Amino acid sequence: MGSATETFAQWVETLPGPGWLGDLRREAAAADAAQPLPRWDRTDAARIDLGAAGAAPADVPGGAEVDGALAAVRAVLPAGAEERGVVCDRIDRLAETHPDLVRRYLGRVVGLADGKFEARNAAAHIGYLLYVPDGVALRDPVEIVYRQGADGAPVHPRTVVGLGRAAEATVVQRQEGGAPSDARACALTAVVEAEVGEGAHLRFVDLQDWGGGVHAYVTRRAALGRDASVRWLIGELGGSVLRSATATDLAQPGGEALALLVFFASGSQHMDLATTLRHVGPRTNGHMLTKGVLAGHSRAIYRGTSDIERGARDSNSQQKENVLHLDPGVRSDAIPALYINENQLQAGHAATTGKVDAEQMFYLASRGLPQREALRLIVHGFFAPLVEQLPVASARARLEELVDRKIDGDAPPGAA
Amino acid sequence: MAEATTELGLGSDYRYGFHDDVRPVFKARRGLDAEVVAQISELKGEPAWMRDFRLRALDIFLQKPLPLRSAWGGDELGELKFEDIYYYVRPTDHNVQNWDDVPAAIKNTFDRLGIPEAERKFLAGASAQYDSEVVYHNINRELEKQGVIFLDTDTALREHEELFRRYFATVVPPEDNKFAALNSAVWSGGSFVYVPRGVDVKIPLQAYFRINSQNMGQFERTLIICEPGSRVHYVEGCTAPIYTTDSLHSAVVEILVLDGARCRYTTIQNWSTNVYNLVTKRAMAYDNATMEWVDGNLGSKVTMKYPSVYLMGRGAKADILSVAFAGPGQHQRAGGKAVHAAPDTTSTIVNKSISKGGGKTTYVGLVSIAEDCPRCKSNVKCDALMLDDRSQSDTVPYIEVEEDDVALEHEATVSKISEEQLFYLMSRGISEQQATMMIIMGFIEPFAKSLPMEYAVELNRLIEMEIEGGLG
Repeated sequence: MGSATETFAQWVETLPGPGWLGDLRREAAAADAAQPLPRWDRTDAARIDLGAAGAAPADVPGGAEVDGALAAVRAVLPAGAEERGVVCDRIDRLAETHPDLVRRYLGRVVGLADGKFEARNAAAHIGYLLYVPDGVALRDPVEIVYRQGADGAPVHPRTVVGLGRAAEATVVQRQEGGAPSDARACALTAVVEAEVGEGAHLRFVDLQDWGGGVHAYVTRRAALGRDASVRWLIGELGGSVLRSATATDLAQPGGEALALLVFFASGSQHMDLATTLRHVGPRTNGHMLTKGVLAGHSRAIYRGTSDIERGARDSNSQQKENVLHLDPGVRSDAIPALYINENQLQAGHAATTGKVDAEQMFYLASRGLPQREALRLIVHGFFAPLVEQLPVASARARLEELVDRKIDGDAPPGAA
Repeated sequence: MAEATTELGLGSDYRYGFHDDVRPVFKARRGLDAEVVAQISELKGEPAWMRDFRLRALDIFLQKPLPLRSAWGGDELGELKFEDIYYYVRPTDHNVQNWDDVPAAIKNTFDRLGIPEAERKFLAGASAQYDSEVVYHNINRELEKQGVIFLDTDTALREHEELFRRYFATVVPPEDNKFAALNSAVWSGGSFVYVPRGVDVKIPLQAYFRINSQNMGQFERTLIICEPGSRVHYVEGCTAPIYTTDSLHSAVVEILVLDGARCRYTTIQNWSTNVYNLVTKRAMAYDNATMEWVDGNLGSKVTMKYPSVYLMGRGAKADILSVAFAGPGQHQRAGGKAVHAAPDTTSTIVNKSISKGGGKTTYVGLVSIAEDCPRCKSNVKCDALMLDDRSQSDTVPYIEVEEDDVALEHEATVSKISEEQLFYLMSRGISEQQATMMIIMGFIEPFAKSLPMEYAVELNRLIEMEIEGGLG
């Protein structure tokens, strides 16, 4: 372990950014090294850590060369945004040009204290910071893409969003690529942290389609100001072993959150997915809707948590989860939890698990549809209520394409 | 929610909080070791295999750590002092079948609980547990003729050793958990029920349990065997006097429901609010058998109880219906587990929780559907009602599905008593207290209506007392 830590620490030294950012990275790397692996129920953290191999991409000491052929990150800002004071660039570059902005937002919502892998990301991240000033509403989406290199050297993506008072933005993020199979596995961490100012509105789409050898830990968190809102739409499709948590802190009065999660696990994928709403402020509203499909021998764990603190009066927290099993070899666990410390509220959850309806399949087959096509219709129909809420047409098309690919690639012909 | 912060009336005016001066004939010393366990076995005149079983269970108990902090509980157990507990107390030397022979002080306690009357009216056979030994036991002649065995567990071991040994600890082995191991080491009393093939026991079998000695642990062990095609309803009710130091109640209930049989087990738990109530209740249901748990939790300081059904045979059914009421200082962890290990099995779990005056209810449940068990169905519904803003309610259901051909539904809600409902009722001239009572009774109605009539009446009264205390 000692040498692995050393290698990781050395690698962190090679990452871009000014000296003060390097100091933060070093501090974070030490925090990572100081903490033992977390102990989770149902997912072994060692499967994500991969020990030395995943932590330090020794093969590619130039991991900083993320714009090269091996891996790439990119962000596209809508036209005219910069003139209105919107800032969006690589965090390491902004650390030189806009150090105040980076200091203001980096590590504020997801910090070192959150855990070992959060600390690792704080040490190794390459990513973008989006800042939208007070009162500026971006109508068109900001696009961010993180593409992992196929050689197994991980990029640890981090997206930092700061929305000023009454600002509005839509971010469409894609995380893709990476080791195509477990034969050349890589381990990575990804973080999204967003501070949504008073009365501001953030829509954040994150479509994750890593290769079959990516072992990943993902933390997404938004902290909402008074009367602010966030709408998450998360698509988890790729990776080998995945632990992903998407949380919203409703600390101020009137905050509103909608967390939509779509997952499709196939082959031998292991997905441990969580959405969390923490209600602290009064009159906070939250809905979590999750739809998942499992095929092959995959395993999925879904944890939905409504945490209602005393004082979150007149709040509403609802969860709904539907899981569809395509094959007999799958396993899904659902743990939709409510922790309630306040009585002036409404909270509830509902969950269903079922299989593809044989009658539907028969009906579609009797209309002359091949079985695969029938299955495709049923799965798309199952996801549709969430996919339709995707704010950007191109993102909708992309998610549908990814789902199609999963059906083609993984579902055996006799799936029903 | 006017005056919702007043303390519940479970302090001085707890109806069953009287304490009779019974002098136990024998009282083991405090604490637990191999000598105490061997002594218990010897005093009971048990066969060697049972003594060895107890000693093995003691080793397991001593080796197992306290349960880790998790949704299933564990963080409240740090206050338990195992070395301060009396593990065995026997108030009289032998069982008495004739009511006239029951000692007056004990009889007094039972009079105040209304047992003789209940017996005259309803009981097929009563097995009242006073401290650790069954002191009063009577079985309906009709049942005996049908071959039904309804005995206290100690007597059953003596009189039906072969049958007993065949099933004992097969559903809940001592390795299962720390408290099952503890019970296995020091068990005393409880009921043994054997219903032969095809016999339908028409009248509920009832037993009352009491703790009546300071720092007394009560470790009853109940074993129910329902042969194929039989039917039985067993009713267990508990009340306990109040003491100043914590008591431990750790029971094990094992039930085998064989092919086509049907068993219902009803409990109303009303231990005084210093009792730790840590109970392992489990049933195995085979082909087309039905197991129903009806479980009410009103008393105790901490309860951790998750009645379980393992659906072992095709077409088996599980029905778990539970109610928890937590007042000040109470934490009711109640839930249920349905483990589907065979095709075409069905489970229904309904839970209703009420918390009040700073009390906490936690529903923890498990529905697990194993691989190669097609066409299983499960429906879980949890509702929590919070009567004031100091109370807490958690809901943590675990759903594990390894089969594609299943239909599983889970639903939960948490709410307070709506002001609209209260306003509506009060505008009809009903007092706030009565209105609250009506709303609560409506909330737990599915539970109350599955109870035998006299229990439903008692439940009604107990909840009324709690509400009176709170709204004062």
